[in-house]
Amino acid sequence: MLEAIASAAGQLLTPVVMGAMLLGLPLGLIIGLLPGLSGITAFAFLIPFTFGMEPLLGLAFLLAAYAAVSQGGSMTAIVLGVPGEVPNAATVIDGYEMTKRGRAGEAIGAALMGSALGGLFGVGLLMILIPVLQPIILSFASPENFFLALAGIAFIAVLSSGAPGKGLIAGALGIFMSMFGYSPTDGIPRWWLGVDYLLDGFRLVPLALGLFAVPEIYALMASGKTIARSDTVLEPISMRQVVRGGLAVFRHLGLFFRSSAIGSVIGIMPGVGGATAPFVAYAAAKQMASNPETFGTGRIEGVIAPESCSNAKEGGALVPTLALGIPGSASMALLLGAFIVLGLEPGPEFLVKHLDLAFGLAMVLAFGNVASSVLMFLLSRFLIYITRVPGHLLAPILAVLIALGGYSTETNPIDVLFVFIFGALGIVMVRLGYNRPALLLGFVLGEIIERYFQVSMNAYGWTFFLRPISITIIVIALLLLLWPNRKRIMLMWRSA
Amino acid sequence: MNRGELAFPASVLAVIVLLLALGYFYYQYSWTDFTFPLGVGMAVCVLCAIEMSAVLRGSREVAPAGSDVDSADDTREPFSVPAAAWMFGLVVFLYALGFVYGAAAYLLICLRANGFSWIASVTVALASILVTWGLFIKVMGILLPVAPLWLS
Repeated sequence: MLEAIASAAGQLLTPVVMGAMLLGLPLGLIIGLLPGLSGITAFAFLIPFTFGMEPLLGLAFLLAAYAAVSQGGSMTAIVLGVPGEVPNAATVIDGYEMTKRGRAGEAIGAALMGSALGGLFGVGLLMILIPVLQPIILSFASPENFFLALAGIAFIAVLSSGAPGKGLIAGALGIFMSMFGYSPTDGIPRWWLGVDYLLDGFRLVPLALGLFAVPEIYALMASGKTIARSDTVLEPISMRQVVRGGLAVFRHLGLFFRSSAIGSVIGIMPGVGGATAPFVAYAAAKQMASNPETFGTGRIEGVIAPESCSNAKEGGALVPTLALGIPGSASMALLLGAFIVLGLEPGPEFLVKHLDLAFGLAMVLAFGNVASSVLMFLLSRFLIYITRVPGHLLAPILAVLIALGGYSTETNPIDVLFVFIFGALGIVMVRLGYNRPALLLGFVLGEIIERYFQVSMNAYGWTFFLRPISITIIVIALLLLLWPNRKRIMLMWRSA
Repeated sequence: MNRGELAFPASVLAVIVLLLALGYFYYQYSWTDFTFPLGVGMAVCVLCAIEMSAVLRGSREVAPAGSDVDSADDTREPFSVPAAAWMFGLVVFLYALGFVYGAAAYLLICLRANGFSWIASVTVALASILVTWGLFIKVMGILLPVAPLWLS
């Protein structure tokens, strides 16, 4: 194995491969900075450029760009309150609040450090797991995926701990909204109301953009003020401020490792809904915090958790793609296509024949995470000036950008309409104090839960929950949920 | 009592009941397809009913501040109809003039209406054409509709 690692490092450290990675990074950052454009868009846009390239060269170019996309998305989430891609929506909650309080530099520092280290964590895990992975992934069948998704749903209760009734309504509404369109098992279209668009149900990107970006843009449009509130002293972004944010990750190492582990595990499991991982990490951070009620008011832990989780997830998602040929996310499905274009066939055989290439790709992802953080830091000095642009100027520009982002995902104009329909819902939810992350979490996991429940019932009958791994997942989820309240539970137990 | 506090859960409840009734009586979904949505829909309805009764009793939840955990914030700025009109008016521009010219026209008119100079407004509008036509269509190959949508 050491030989393979040395060989991978040797192949990477050539001027041509390094040049390809350095070319991919800024392209990925530009795509990440445009709201709604995600890793899928990056791959779709960049794959044609790799035709005829050597496999390592082409994949290094693609993966470096892919690593940078997420960084760009988190910057817009923090500075503008507009998530670059769906997972960045979790960063908006506290990151944007920090910007409004004049602490954008700290939030950016924490996000960059969390992302870079989270990415390294995911890649480290990927390198350790590559040789032993196949039996682990194959032991996860539909019942285990069902319980993993169910554990994710349980975090809705945590996300909504401030206002449980409203949070649960939002979460349940999200699950219900996921049931529009073709049913997952027998393909009957539900509530399509004669509208072809609804045959595939509501789409995730318009929902995320509408719920999170539109209310912030509306607020800017209504007030006309700059993002950074005029009553706060806006410190110009400096190395000192960013370093302070970056060091915060080391002050919350437990949170960092927990969030990265959550991201890696969710990323490794194909089809468990990687987009939800940052929300689960955010909810877990809130659950474990000593004063969870202050989450949502600009806490740095609310930035570290989703950012470290989000990048760790990408390393994890590469695992099933390489080892089994099963994509861990939609972006990985496109990467799988790129492998085939470049003459490679991922799967168990791939690791036997191209172990050095697998390690090489892990190293590219690690390099991409760190290098894009550095690049983003250099850019962040300019991005912060955006927070001083008057709302009446910034809001229409952002509205146009999210419309373009909403359209570009599936090149469907109706998506743009739905961005604004969900945006209206988002504005109402914000004004009435309903929990938007809970709705998004319910939406992503609802369909997964239904599908795996039906498949598990058909394949294993009612006893599907008695499988050992299923029981382990249930126990871990219960422990995670109950651990912060253990003293109260013990007290109730004793008094009873 | 804020009327919205009552109207939102009531609207959600009404829509869910309507959809469940449609599913059962009109579409006549099989139990395989209907059990899960029925269960979730009923849960939403019960939660909405509980929330409505809490509002009517005047015992609504008071949660800490924060954009996504707070209950209705009474100190929030009043709803701005002009801001909402400008925000959602973009859809009309895109539908009427297509994504390239619609976005540019929207930015030009919106910025002028909000007191920005002609130079600033025209510059931003031209920059938007550069992004939509140049970056999206020419560079990234994303086929934004150039012609008005109502013509297609």
